[in-house]
Amino acid sequence: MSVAAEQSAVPDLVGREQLVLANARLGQARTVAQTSGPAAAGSARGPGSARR
Amino acid sequence: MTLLLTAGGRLVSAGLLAMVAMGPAPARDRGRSGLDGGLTRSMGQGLAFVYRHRTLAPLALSTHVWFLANSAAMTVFALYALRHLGISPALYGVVLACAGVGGLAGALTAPWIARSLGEGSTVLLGRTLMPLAWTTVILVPDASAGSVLALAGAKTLYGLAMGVEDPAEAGFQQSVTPRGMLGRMNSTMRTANRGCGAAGAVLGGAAAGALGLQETLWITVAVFVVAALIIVFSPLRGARAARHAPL
Repeated sequence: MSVAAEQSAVPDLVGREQLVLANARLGQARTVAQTSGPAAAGSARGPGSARR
Repeated sequence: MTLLLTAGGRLVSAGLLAMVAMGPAPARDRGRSGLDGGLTRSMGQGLAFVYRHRTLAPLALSTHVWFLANSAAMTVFALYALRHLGISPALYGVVLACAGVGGLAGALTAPWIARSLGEGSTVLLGRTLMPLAWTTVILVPDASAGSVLALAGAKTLYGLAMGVEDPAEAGFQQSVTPRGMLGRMNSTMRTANRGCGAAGAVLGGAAAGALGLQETLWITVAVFVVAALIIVFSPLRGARAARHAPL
């Protein structure tokens, strides 16, 4: 739900020629968060239990 | 403690979102949005808009097929890497993380690629790289260092493909859709895509059991090719958002 709303809000915040750039920035933020989040949680929990 | 941090993160996120100055929705959109007509009517309008659109319809269709292939492939990939190839869970984690690195690189280059190729062909480029990435995965023979490296390379390419096409797809959808239709267009796309994703996971698992892991991965490669071909034979190829007048 929040992603559908987020994507609908982007054109209100930036101009048309900036849309791909804005979505790329959102994608970069998402990728960094999704890649580092589990690793951070794993190390916060302790290296022994970080195994998947 | 970790869960507490997560909850705190959500709060910070909500606070940041509240600071975004959105401005009020124009009054005319209420009438045009048709929400007074009920949820069913809105859903029907979203479906009609997407699937009758000259460029959004092939984009939607291609993305549905892509989700079908991707979920099936990812379902099989865990079994393939861990059981068939026998790589360690730790290395499996590293290989998956490579997709994140590739995704970041893709998202960093996407605006530049979209400017030179146009959004339509940028999406096509991403969809063309996908079968290549998965073919590499299938050709990896064992759990040796070289094989794990090849697997990591394939996953990086996989992430790169998604990182490149995703902003182009979202940007294109947003510029060809009138403001009042954005919510319904996005919801329609996402609902159908997630549905195909769920179906793909089930089909992938069933095919893996009936046909074998490598055989199933070859089928997903073929399905990825179909997703790319849908764009090749549609007006979406070469399409640029800038040429479309927003209604």
